[in-house]
Parts: sequence; structure tokens; C-alpha cells
Amino acid sequence: MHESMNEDQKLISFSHERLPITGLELLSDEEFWSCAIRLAQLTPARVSTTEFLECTLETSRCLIPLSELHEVVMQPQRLTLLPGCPDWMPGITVWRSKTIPVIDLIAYLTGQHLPMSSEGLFLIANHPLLPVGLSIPTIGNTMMVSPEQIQPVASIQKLFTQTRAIQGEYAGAYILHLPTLLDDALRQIEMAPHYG
Amino acid sequence: MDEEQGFFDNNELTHEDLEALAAFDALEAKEGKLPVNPMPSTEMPQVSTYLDADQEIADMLQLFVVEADEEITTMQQAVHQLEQDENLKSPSMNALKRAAHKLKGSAGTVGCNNMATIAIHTEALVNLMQAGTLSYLTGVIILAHAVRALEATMEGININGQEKYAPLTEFEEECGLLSIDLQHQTARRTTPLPPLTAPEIAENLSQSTSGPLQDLSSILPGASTPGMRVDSRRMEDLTLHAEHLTEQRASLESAQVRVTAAMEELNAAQNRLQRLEMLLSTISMGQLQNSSQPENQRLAEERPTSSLIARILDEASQRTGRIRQRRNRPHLQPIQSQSNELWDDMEIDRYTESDVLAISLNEAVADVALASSHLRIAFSQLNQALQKHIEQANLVQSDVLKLRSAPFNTLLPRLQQTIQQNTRGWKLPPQIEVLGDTTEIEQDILDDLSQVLITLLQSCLSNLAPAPRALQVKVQILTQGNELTVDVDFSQPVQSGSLDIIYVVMQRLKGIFLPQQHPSGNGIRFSLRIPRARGTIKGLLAGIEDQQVIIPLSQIQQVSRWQLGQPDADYKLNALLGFVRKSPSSGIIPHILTLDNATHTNIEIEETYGEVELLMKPLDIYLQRPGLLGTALDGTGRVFLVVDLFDLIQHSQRYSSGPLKISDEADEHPLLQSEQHPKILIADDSVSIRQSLQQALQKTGFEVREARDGLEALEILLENQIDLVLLDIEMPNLNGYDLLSILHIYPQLANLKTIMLSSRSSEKHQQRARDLGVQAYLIKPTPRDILLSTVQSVLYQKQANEA
Repeated sequence: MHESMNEDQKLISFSHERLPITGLELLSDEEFWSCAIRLAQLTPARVSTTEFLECTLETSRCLIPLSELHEVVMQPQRLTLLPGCPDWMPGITVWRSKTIPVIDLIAYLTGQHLPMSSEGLFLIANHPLLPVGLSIPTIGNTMMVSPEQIQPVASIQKLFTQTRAIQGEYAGAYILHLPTLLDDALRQIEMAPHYG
Repeated sequence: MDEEQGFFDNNELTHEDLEALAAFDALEAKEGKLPVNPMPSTEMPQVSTYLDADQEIADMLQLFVVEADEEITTMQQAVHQLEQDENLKSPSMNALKRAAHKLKGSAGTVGCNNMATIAIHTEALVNLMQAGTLSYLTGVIILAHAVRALEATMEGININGQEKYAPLTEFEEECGLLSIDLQHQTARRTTPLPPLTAPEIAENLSQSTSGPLQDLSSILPGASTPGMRVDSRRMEDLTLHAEHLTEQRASLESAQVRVTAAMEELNAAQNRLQRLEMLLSTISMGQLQNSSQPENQRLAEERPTSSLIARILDEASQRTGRIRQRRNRPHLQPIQSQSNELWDDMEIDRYTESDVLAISLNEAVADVALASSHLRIAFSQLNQALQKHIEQANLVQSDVLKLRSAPFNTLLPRLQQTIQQNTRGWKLPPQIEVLGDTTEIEQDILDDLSQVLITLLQSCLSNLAPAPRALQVKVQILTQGNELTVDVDFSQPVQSGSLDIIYVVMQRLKGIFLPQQHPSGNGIRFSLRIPRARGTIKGLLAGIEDQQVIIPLSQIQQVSRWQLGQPDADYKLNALLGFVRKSPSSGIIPHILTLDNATHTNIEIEETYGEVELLMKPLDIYLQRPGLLGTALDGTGRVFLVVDLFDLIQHSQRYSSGPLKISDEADEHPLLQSEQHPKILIADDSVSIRQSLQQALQKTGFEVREARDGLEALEILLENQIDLVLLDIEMPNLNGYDLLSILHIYPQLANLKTIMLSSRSSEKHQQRARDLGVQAYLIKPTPRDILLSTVQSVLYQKQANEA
């Protein structure tokens, strides 16, 4: 995730160590040079932050890195059923002249099958082999989150059945590791006709 | 025969005879009919125990003698021909090898081990010659010895009912004198022949996927990408038509300019009319305020004389809601009331403001009408130009399609060359007839077709012995819509062997390959059906549940509301696709699709929406499913699945245990219907082997049918409820591999059990048979107990698993 981050998403911050910036004229030469050396030795810490898109999944929220998404589109009126698919895959659709699978994100993560809203959205997720449509009810704001701010998941809600793709937690929202999720989903889609 | 007297008089038997009897004894003991003789082989066998088997063996020997005589005669003729040909590629070489192979199998089955051994040596010698290890001259000499040894052995059987050892011994000594290591070579006797093996043909196919395209690549210096043959005349046509298309651009642009100008003219006239209408409204408002109420009311009810003005006023009134005021046009009435004869345009003094306005209004209306007329003319001219442009574009498209196509007759030299190569040395060369050879086919499809046809001809002709009558090969090309049918007829039974490879290629081409009986009743027809062009799919838009799918028209014979006749198999499309029915189907009258295949197969769908022709794309590997050719998009961005009904049926038969068929009885295991007397088909070209197997199986309670070749076996399988087929590899028309390949395309044969019974013992053959789906592989001669236990095991395997 860090590798794919844009340069403009990287901010620079400094240590909060207190230094006697004022009253330098009162310092002796020795003290002045000592202070200067300490300042010079301070290296700026590069902190990477990632922009996430907030998605609302019924009773919970999740964050998806924007860099992993192609675009957000309106849900098409009708999906085409594909034989032999996992039950969290409602069908296939076309995006930029390419036939792509659609994953009901709530059903995939929780195993719950809620009726898809006609006003729902598709996040077109970027997978190197095949773009994937993630069906979600609605989206929220985007937010910048640094790795330090991501907390380990204290207690994943009981309704989540797929926990491998949950990377951590930030402000009560689960951060999804999309490559893991997509790899697993595509593998299951590929194998479904053979093993049900 | 009297038990006390025994089968032979012991005093008349020589030492060799005693050994032969011991060999028979050992064979019978293996088959479980006799206890193993504990006596040394030099002692007399217990002949008194033969009684039950005596008649059986005598019958089998009688059949074998006739068959072996024929094979030895064939070998004799082949050797004679080889002596004259002095050519390793002589068809007689294969004919000799084939006869030896058959003799090896049948002799082994009846226990004539000496004859079987000589036959094995003969086969090995041919292999050595073809591999270049043995010189042609030496090879022919020793082959002549082999045939003489076979004749001598046969003579012993004819005279004494027993084969002699001496001819074999002498033959092996002869080989030793010529330094031919038969033992070593016999172990390698299954070395494949270059032109005949399936893997090599497959390799050839993979190496030559670009086919004739390579010709151009090789011509072009440095060309790394595959090229395409281009007919210069067609290229000229395309160039000419493309130039005309470019020339039409000017007239099209000119027509567009005229339309734009006319639209501007109309727009200006309408603006003027609108201004006048506003002025008229203002004047009317002022006059209305001064007029009396009754007069005002009377005028307010009047309608404008111009419908255009009325419409403009009405629209304006709807926008503003001031209906009454805008309709008041007090000064229009005087103008209307004045007749033309009273009006003089030169009498300026008589003109009022309203008169001028009215005249201007009339002129503006006329201008609008004129501008509308100009616009209509301009549009008409634009349409004409556009129509011409479309026609020209279609011509260019047609030219491009022609450029990518080539007539079938471009393949003829290669096909003729293949036939000549494989029938070299025949006294009566095959007669070739081609019908419909001017049919245009896309070049890449033509290339694939070429490979299929060449493989078919190689496979059928390379093993064929020279026929007493000239073989007639007829190739007929027919087209129907986007489908191309190529029928290849052989006027007499042929040897194939690589049809599974052809099936793989045909599957890739989304085509169908069916062997059929030759119309004359003798020989065989191979029918190939493939699409003429790729990319677009022409199909029937069918409805199931709330989904719509496309079924290629080439797979449909007819669509009806009623079931016509009793189908061999009956399916529901939603069940085949695994779509769960969301709502009860009551009240829906389904459509019945009858498939265009060899059997009467019906598919039930809920609705049809007519024919469509759409661009088809293959599915990504993650989304690929059995029975789906790809997806097609319509203009609104809807995705339709394109289904392959044949593949869907095959897949459902292989992997699904669910009730996909409509008829309940289809779910039952076939053996439940015929549990008492399972029916077994023996497919073998050797009458003695068929006889032997039939006796063994009938005694165990099986009902047995026989087929002399693969095609006859297929016909029996399609016409009868057969539970198991015992299949030889080497057979005329369709060999065992071919038949196994074909079985997959018949849904009603999905539950058929197959056992391969062949003298070919190598792992390569066994693996190939397993790949083609056989349940067991037995090597001839197979002991009876092993044969029966294998048959029973295979027949009841499914039931045992279910239990």
C-alpha cells in the first residue's frame, strides 16, 4: 500500500522536542554551537498518509484506499447472472467495454444477503488481472490516514465472516486491504463452478 | 467327444504336440475353467477334463483359421508389393503391419502363441525398417521368411489342429543369422509410427496454427508477425471503393452546409415572426383598454387566421397564463373583412399601424414557410448523400471481408497432396471430387479447417490397404447463413485414429464433427460444421427467469410451442445453467428448442425475443464457465450470456447429479432399468474375438450385441440401451479412440461404461484411453476371470459407490 502512494500524499513533520529558539543571544558560544548541532541532527520524519474512501455497510463502516479504485459509478439497472458463482456475487456487468464481476461487499464480508438498493453504487476496484465491481449502499467522505493512526482491530463485529481482508481500524471504521480481498474473491469466483 | 478316448490319442502326439497341449492347458487354467496342471510340461495333460471346453475351442479355432488365413494372405500380398516398390513409404508397409497386429491379437486370444509371436516379430521388423535400423532389402527378405513361418504354422493347425513350433524356431534362427535382435526390438514394438500417432498429429497442429499464413511470413523479409494472403483484384476493388467513399465526403459536407444554412434561415424567420407577434400583442393590449366590454368580448373569442400564429400565441399563453388578453386582436378583423378588390397597396394613407403589422406578419409567416421548405430540401439532400455514403461504406466493408476470405478451392492442392502422399503405390489411385469449392471462408477459419481436413485424410488413408476398387473421396461444401458444412465422404470403410485430435480443434472452432454412415450404405461420411466468420454471433435471444441469453442459431433446428415427437433427451435451460427458479412457472407456456444434432434433443425456455446479431467477446478466465461461449453487449450496455447448448448438456451429464432432465426416468441409473440382464456391446473387427467374448459373457448372464467396426458400434449404441461396451482400438471406420471421442457428444450415452480391450499394452495407449474416459483397460488375451470381474466391477461401480 505504501509503495503505491503518490508523492503529494506524503507529508513531512518534525520532532516535538523543545529547543531554546528564543534568547539565542544570551547563550555562550559553547551553548550556541551545542544547540546548533542538536538542531542540525534533527532529521525530519517522513510520515506516509493514504487517502481513504469511507463506505457505509449497513451497521458498520469501512475505509477503502482511493488508490486501489478506478472510479465510483452508479449501479446499473440490471446485472447479468453468471452460472456457478459464489452467493455473494450477484452477477456480471460491463465497465468500459469489459465484462467484470460484481461483488456484494456486505454479503462477502458478513455473509448477509440484503436486497441491493437501486440507488447503490459500484466501486470499480483495481485488480491487475481483472477490474472488479464492489457493490455498496452508499459512500461517505474521504480522509487521510497515516499508518500510525491505524489501530489493530480490537474486536471485529461478530457478523463479519471474512476477516483476512480487514487490515485495521480507524475512527470506528474498518480498513480493508483490497488486494487481499480481490485475490480471495477472484479465486473463489474462478473455483466456484468446480467446487460449488 | 468320448471322455475315455480323450481329445487325442496320446501315442500319436509328438513331443511338440504335447508341449502345445500343455500351453493350452495353462491358458485354460488361467481362465478358471481348469485346475492348474501340476504335472511337468513333458508329461501328458489331463485331456479328459477338456470336454466342456472342447466344442468351444473347436468353434473358436475354426473362426480363427478363417480370419488368420485372410490376414496371412494380406501379409503375403503386402510383402510381394514391397519387393516391387522398394519404397519405405509404400502403403503396403502399413498394411503388413496392421495385418500382423490383428493376427497377433486374435492368435493370442485363441492360444496360438507361436503364431502370435511370429506376428509380433513381423510388426517389430516393420518398425525397424521404418526407423531405418534395418535395411530395406534385408527387411523384405526376413519379412518374407516371417510370412512363410506363419503359413507353416497355419498348416500345422489345419492338419493337426495344433500349431507347430518349428517354423517359429526356424524364423528366429534366420533372424539371428541376419543379426536382428528380435527380443530387444519386440520389447519396443509399440514404438509409434510417425504419420499415425495422435501426439505427433497434435504437435503438427500446434506447430502449424498459422497454416498458409506462414507462406506470406516466409516471403516477407524480416516478417515476424503472421501475414495474410491478399488477392490483388480484391485489393484493387477495395482501393477503388475506398476512394469513392472519400470523394463522397465533399458532397456530404456540402449537404451539411446547406442544412445548416436552411436552419439559420428558418431560425431568422421564426425570430422575426416572434418579434411581430410581441408587437401585435402590445398594440392589442392598448386597444383593448379603450374598447367597450361587449366588443372586447366579441373580439376575444376570435381565432387568428394563421394556424402558425395561433400556435405561437397559444404556447405563449400557456407560458404566461394571459390567455384572454393575448387572443384579443381587434385590428385583424378589418383586414380580414376587406376584400382584395377594395384594397389598394398604393393608397398609403389608408394604411394604419395594424395594417402594416398584419402585412408584415403575413410576410413573416411566408418566410417561415419558405425557410421550412428550404430546410426540408436540404435535409432530403443530406439524407441522399448519407445514404450513398452508407452504401459505399458497406461496399468497403464487404471488400474488407472478401479480402480476409478465400475460396475453399485454395485448400485443394494441399488436400490432393495429402491424399497422394498417403496412397502412393496404389494401383488404382483414389478419385477425388469436390463440390462447392468456390465458397468463401474467412482465412483464419480456412486455415483451421485445412488442418482438420489434412489430419482427417492422413488418419483415414495412412492405414488403408490398397483397395480392389478405386476409393472415391468426395468433399462437399455447403453454407447456410453463417454456418459452413463440409462433408467428407469415403466410398469404403477407412481406418481413422486421430479423431480425438480433430474434436479438440473443432471444439476450439466452436464447431461440430459427426461421423455418419455413407449415403450409399458402404463407407463413411465425416461431417464438419463451423461458423464462417468469427466475432459476431447470430443467435436467438431467449428468456429464462428474468435473464436473457443468446443461443447460436447454428445449434437450433427449430423453435416451437409444442413438443414434436418423443425426444431422446429433454432439458430445461435454466436448470442447465444452474439458475434457481424464483417464481413458480405455472401459466408460462414454454418454448421448445430442438437442437440440431444427431439425436432428438429438446431444450425448454420460457420466452423468445427474436434473432439478434451482436459482437461477442470471450469471458475472462475467472468468469469462464462450461457451456458459455462468451458475452455480447447490446446498444444499451446490457450483457447477454452466449450459451453453447451442446457443451452445457455434456457438462451437466458429466458433473451434475441433479434432475436437469425433465423426465424423471432419466435420473435413474440405466442398470436399474436393466438390472437383470445388463447389455454389453462388443466392438471388435475380429470375429473370433467377438465369438470368444460373447460366449464368456453370455454364460455369465449378460445380453450381448456385436459390432464389426466403430461406426456400427455407434449406431447400435444410439439405437439400443447398452450398459457397457467392450472396445477394441484397431477397427475400420471409427477406431476405439474415435468412438470414445464421439460418445461425449451424445447426451443419452453419458452413463455408458466403456472398457478398452486391446492387444496394445503400452502405457501410452492406456493413458490415452483413460484420457478419453474409459473405466478399464484390458490387454488381449485377457483371462476370462479377469474379464468378467472387470466387467462386473465397472458395471456396478456407481451403485457400489452410492451404497
